[in-house]
Amino acid sequence: MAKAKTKEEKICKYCQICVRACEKVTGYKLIEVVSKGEPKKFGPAANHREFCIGCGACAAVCPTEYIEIVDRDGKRYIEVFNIDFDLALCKECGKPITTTKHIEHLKKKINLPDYIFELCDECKRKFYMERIAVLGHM
Amino acid sequence: MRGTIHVDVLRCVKCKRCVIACATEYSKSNTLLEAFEKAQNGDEIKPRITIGLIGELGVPIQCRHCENPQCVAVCPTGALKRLGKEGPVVVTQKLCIGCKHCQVVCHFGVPQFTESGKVYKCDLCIERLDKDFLPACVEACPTGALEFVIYEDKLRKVKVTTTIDRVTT
Repeated sequence: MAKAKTKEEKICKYCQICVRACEKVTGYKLIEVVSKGEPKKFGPAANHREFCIGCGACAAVCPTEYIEIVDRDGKRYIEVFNIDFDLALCKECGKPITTTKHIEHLKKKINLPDYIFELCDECKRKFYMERIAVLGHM
Repeated sequence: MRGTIHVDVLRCVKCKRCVIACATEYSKSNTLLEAFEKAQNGDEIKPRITIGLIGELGVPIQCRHCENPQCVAVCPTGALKRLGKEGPVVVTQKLCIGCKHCQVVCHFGVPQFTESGKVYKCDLCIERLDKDFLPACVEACPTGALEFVIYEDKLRKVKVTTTIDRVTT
């Protein structure tokens, strides 16, 4: 396991990997380096902010863990960008699945029944295990 | 050739040998002892198969390698893709950006994420299949609850077993 980074190590190095990841997911360059020495700001213009779906890809690819996502009390916070989202909770166990905006984005992309978006991964697995147990084989 | 893993729930004795074999196969060293030592030091060693308990039954579940995989359809970078026309759905971890699209749309909740935000899932032990070996979990299963079958054979088998069920019940 990698050692936990200290606060001094969690700085932006302007590598712009997050920009490329964001472009892949949303199709927009929502993250922009405003100027060196200053913290990054969201969007080429403020009116692009609403396209952020809060999937957390930028945080996952960030090599220095400068971008961090925090899920707390039914909300997802990305402090660096000063933005927050409502989380969708699992119908069975109440665990946060992902943000509601993320689910809307996926619903536009792919046509699937609603219950798939209402359960977390563990509950979905359990749901299918029960079905397989009834069938006996799969 | 399109292979898949056939699960027979009534034969499963919940010994979890498939889970151990899977975690060992996907570790860097490929040997159980070294994988165990590394896991104690905090390395990420993750099995791609899980056994759930439903009542008294153990149900092994792993990627089903669906015919129309939703995970592949939504993946923005092509990290998840189908090998060939009828091959398994495989992961290229280098391309994964951790957006979790695949986990949200998967019917079975199969794709999981490492602490560094990369996806991992069953790829039917594609390296072993190339060398004409069975997938690690199938080879480890002592009771035959997991079976590697070619797709057409599986369809026939399902047909036969369901017909027998209908006749006998």
